[in-house]
Amino acid sequence: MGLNETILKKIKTECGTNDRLFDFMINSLMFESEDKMGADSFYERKLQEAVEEGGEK
Amino acid sequence: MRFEQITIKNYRQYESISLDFPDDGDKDLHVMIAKNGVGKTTLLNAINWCLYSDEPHLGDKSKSLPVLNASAIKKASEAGKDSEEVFVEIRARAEESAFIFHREMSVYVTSSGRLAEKQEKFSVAEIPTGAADPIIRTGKEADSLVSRFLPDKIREYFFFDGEQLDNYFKSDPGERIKNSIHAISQVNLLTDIAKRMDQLIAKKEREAGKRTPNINALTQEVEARKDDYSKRCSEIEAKQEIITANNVRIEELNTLLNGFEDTPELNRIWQELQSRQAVENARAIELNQEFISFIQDAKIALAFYEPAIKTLSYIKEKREAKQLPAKIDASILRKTLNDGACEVCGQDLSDEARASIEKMLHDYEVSTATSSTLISIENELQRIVKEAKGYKRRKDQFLEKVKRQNDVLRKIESDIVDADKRIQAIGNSELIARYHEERKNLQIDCDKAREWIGARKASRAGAHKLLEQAQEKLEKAMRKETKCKELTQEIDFLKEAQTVAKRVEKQMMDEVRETMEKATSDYFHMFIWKKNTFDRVTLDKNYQVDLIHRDGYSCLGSSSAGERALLALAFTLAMHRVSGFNAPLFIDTPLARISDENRTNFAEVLSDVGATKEIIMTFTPSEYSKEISTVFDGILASRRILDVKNEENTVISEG
Repeated sequence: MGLNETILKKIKTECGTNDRLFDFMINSLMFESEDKMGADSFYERKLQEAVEEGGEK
Repeated sequence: MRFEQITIKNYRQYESISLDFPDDGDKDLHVMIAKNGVGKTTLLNAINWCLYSDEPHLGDKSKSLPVLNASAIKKASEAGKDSEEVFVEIRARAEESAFIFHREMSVYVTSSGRLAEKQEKFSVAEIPTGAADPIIRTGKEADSLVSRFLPDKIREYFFFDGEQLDNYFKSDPGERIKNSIHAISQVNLLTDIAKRMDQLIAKKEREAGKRTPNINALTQEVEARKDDYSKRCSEIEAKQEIITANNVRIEELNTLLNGFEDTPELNRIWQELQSRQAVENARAIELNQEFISFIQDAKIALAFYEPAIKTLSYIKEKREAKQLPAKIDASILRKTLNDGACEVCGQDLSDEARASIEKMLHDYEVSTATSSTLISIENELQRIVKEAKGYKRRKDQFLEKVKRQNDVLRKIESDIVDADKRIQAIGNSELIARYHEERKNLQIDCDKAREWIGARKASRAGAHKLLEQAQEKLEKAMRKETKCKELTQEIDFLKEAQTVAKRVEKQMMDEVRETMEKATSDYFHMFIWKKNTFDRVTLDKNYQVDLIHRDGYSCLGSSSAGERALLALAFTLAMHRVSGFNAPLFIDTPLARISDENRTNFAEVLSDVGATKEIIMTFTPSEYSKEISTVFDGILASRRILDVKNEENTVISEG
């Protein structure tokens, strides 16, 4: 299922220049719109990536 | 997606039929006309069965009948076959590909004539344009493909029975509609993300708490505050649900009571009329007595009118002759005679002067007595004359008053007769009274619940403030703790993500609801012939639909079944617009509850929608009236008449 364009635009506006947050939100949306299997590990992984990426910057 | 062909084999009353939906008309509108019992609703079920494996519009009678066509059973027995195949196949086109949705089921026919159904098989064949081989999908993949074109949650707004439109908002209080709309606009994804963030934040905070006792205590405090706040939220939600449920029941009662008067109210009116009648009767008696007294008084005045006029004329003459009243002081004359001298100059009276004074005194005494009498009765005479002259006017005034009073009494009597008739017209007045009582109590409960919510919201705000303070303390403590640095960063990030999810969720909810509200209102005004009666359609945040009269009050409960059906249809079309799912619209007997006045508008709106969307409709011959055929004939992409052969099998008789 494709993601709703309006939601994507609004998320972009809300995230502003925070690309890590935008990527995290898009990944979360895609995950929730699909089979949602292994939610805990998915979110832990994506959270780690986002925080580490932020730390590196 | 648009349907190009539906092929049905051995499914209920369809032994074998193939219906094409060509896309070569002015509008993508397709009409099938069939008498009741021919299989219009079965066609609706066939589509649902093919795509979703159920038959939501099956009547109770049909549920007990075998899915396998009766002729097919007979033929299978005659041919000695032990099984027969049932299938429905939909050929469709979407996204540059052709799709074949095919569901089949083998039905075993035992020697005793009993039937046993075997598991269904469902497959979707996708044939991309230019590709040689189809891609075949089965199982979850096939179901998922159907969901991509039209999710199960919203299919009822695409394939539906016009007979049921009137019940749309009764059987379906906002919650399910709201969930469907949030599902199609993907708002629910944001809700899910926000919940996930909440769970993760709590988990991370617990982890951080385990590392230092202080943080642990603060975490526990935050948890306790959260529980307290959530408890208050739940209580408010529960109360709101009660209000929603009450409103649904009130709506049902409004429908049940539509056309029935409020018995307690009618009884109150009747009693009030009886009291008024007693008061006005007393007033009429009083008025009659006043009139009799007036006539008696007037009789006296009328009898004395002529003599009074004459006497007053006499007084007037006397007054003009300056004989009234007498101008001499009798006491001075008498004293002059007694003293024998003039009271003015003191000169003695001569005999001649005495005689003159005595004559004057005699004349004076006569005229004074007459003059006093005349003056004393003059006022009374004037009153008598005035009363006699005013008799006709006053009599007319009295008669007018009496007439008005009699009119009032007649009106009350007529109202009492009318109220009696209305009371008698209420068949089961006890039941109606009970409904009225129930509705009144529900309204009272709703008002109380709203008051309670108001107070509770204030305490919830307090609880929220305490939660924020506890969270702030915890954040401060965690920032100080080096070991918690990483966890704090994660929690901060999750909170940011949660804020974005919640903000976008709120914006989307508001926008989607406003768009739905406006689109429903627009379509409804296009449908309805009473353009000036209804101001607008409203959707509250729980998607409770209401119809607002131009005078500002809610009138969904008092609207007709046809108006509610049109409202439901308007809502459905709005749903199509908002959802973005371009699946076909299949309406079985769309005009079941729609009056003649609204049919032309209905046909015109549907023909407009048909310019961009495939619409398939089934009508009974009487439904496909002149109003409809005038608009539709000539622009339809296909029109066919279905009939039954041997009272068993549906066939195309003309098309």
